[in-house]
Amino acid sequence: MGSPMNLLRPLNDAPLISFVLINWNYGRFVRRAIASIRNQDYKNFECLVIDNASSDDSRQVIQEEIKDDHRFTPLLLDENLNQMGALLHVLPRLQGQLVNICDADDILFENFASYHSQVHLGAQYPIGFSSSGVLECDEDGQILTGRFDPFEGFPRLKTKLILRKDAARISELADSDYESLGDAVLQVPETQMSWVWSPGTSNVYRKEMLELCRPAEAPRIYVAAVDNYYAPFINAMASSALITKPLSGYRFHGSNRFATSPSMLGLRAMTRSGRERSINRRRDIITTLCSDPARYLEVLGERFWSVIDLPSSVDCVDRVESFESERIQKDIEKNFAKLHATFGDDLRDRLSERMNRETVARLWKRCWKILDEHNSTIKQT
Amino acid sequence: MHQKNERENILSVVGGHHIAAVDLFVGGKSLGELSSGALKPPLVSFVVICWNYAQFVSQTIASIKDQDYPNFECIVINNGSTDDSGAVIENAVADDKRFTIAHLPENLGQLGAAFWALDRIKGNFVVFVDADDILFPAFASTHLQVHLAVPRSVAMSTSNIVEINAAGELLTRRYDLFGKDGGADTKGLAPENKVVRLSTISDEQYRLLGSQTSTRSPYKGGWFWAPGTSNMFRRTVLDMCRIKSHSNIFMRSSDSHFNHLCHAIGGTAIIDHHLAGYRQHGSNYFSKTETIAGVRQGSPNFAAISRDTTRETLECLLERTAFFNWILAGRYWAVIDQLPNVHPELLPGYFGENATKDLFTRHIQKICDEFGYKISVRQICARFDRTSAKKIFRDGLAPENHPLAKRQFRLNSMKKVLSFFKRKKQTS
Repeated sequence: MGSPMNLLRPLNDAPLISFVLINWNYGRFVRRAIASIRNQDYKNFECLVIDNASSDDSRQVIQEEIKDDHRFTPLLLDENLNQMGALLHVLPRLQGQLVNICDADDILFENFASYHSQVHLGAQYPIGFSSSGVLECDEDGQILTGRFDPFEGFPRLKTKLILRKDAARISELADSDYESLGDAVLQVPETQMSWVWSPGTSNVYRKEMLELCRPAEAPRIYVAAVDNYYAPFINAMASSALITKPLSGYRFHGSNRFATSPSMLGLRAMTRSGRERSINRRRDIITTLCSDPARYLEVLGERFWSVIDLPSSVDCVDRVESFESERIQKDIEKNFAKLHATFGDDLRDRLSERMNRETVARLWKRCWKILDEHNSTIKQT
Repeated sequence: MHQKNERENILSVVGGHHIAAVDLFVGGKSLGELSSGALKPPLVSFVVICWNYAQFVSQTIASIKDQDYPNFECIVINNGSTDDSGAVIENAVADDKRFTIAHLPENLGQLGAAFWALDRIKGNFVVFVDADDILFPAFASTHLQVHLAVPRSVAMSTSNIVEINAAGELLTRRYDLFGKDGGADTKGLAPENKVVRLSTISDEQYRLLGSQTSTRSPYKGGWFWAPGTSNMFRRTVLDMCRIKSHSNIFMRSSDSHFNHLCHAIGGTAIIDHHLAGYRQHGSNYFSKTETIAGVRQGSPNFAAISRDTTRETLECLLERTAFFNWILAGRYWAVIDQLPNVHPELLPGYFGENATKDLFTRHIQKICDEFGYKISVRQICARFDRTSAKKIFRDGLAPENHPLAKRQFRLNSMKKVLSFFKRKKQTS
């Protein structure tokens, strides 16, 4: 073990991780998922087990598996808020500085939390989240592939963790583990415009980033995958790190909504409907940016406009097509006063880069009309 | 792995044989322990297809029993043999519980038997074994290690062979076409401590394996696999390659169908290391002689049969146009041109054959439904002469859709005329 000076005491100093395990009708898998969290070698965690109004035997299984472990809190919802809905529902009450959203059909390795926590503490630059490798497996747990295909798909600059003697050390990691972890870490710059992370469960976010990037106008029942929205957005805000070692199992099975087959070279791994849904939900990033432009401009500076292009870039959708869509038009129209107050007439140029000329002209006219009417009613009163 | 010996002491008894329990490792730690027992080593399915190879099949079965990766099942299909294969197989399998024997009343052909087996196997990785070939003990473990450690996952892996004669004597050290045109292949495996490892492959062997392995992208066609028993397929990809047919008899080799299509779907990992013996004994389906650089392989009528069989493979793609166009992510038409496995200059000839035209006629409606009439007309015109193209649409489409196609043909020819004038203007 390293010098006692920089070794964190397991329960007092090491960051608290909040696991949010979200289950909907995965009674046949959820026992494994809970067990894999209980068996973490990292001691400082809490786990919220949310049941999204399952109709199978999930609730019973959850109660049985948690027993009287005080680190686990079951939360049985009466309606299915879906994954994103459930997370946003519980986000304010999470205690941890680090948050992992765990799918009920996945499995974490026993060193998952300690490795992720160490990367957050030891990275050369602060990161918004960390993403580790997965093994794709089948319903029975048999390994299918060694990785999720887009993960680590682009050559990246290697980054070491900071020197062992200078780092705040997680006591569960031996010196040799620290060194080998250091060899496995890659930094993803905040300018990354495509998907390079592992899916779902394999990501650990800083809680304040989840709050900073919280989707605006989120409905209570929010049908969306957390990683789909948060991963590229948080990376654009604060960059991320990849741990190029498998630290969890990602289950591929018949009732998986997104996957068509294990990920493979040159093959599309998502279903058609899954992709449409994900494109649509990722545009929530634009909605969120438009809802509070001043605040995000402060964080992002000039990069505000490249982040607003992030959804179309990640999904390989034409930027113009994305901005011409009805919902984005509505978003801009609705937040026009704020946007104009932040960017002034520069806004029109920025929009012109992203829409056809006629659309901008129409939008501009419409928005000003609404704004003028609004202003005049204020004056009158 | 350096701690190999300590780990191999867990023994279990399967069918009277002592077999080391298998575990996988990540960074030197047991996967079973890391995952609280939730993740397991994959099951490999061997499918031995035997048609009148009584004199060789017992050696084949013995070579499967000797695999150093014990987590497998094996289904031995006696494919309507008329010799004493049945008795020989029963004898060779004896009481090994990992084996199942199926005696089929008629010969379904090798591919037919392979499809028959697909409904009955449980493994996620599949090896079709010719009943005259011999696997080396590390066949399954090496292929599996490559599948789990290639930089990007692939649909299938292939390894080299040694050629042997009927008596089992060595003829050549390697198959001549193996890994041909490998210039653009991606070399190597992922770093050794970042991947799932098998306990039977030491660090040193892993590094050596890395230097022998490369990944060929699905964009690149041609025949570069070793023949016979040299491939391990992903089950999910094989399931995509089924052929719809009124009959369950397919009198052709399984690799002529699976290799081209599986590779076009998800690429191949090439392991340049011999892991099997391929037997040349005069009654082979394909070869006349061992491979020597410069000597043409294949019997003369093989080439003619091969064209018909590639159409069968092509039909697999056309039948499920919507599915394949989606998962191939923009590569659909490239794969159409890749599957016939002929030189690009000979493609017009291939598409010019009546059987090919009939094939597209049968499926043109599905193509139009998926791509729309504009793109469909353009793509068909790129492959067939104009008269044939028109005929394909006329004969294959429902009558109410004829005008839609005709309109595109007219627009198409107008465009051609326009571009002709444009070019003329530019030159003058």
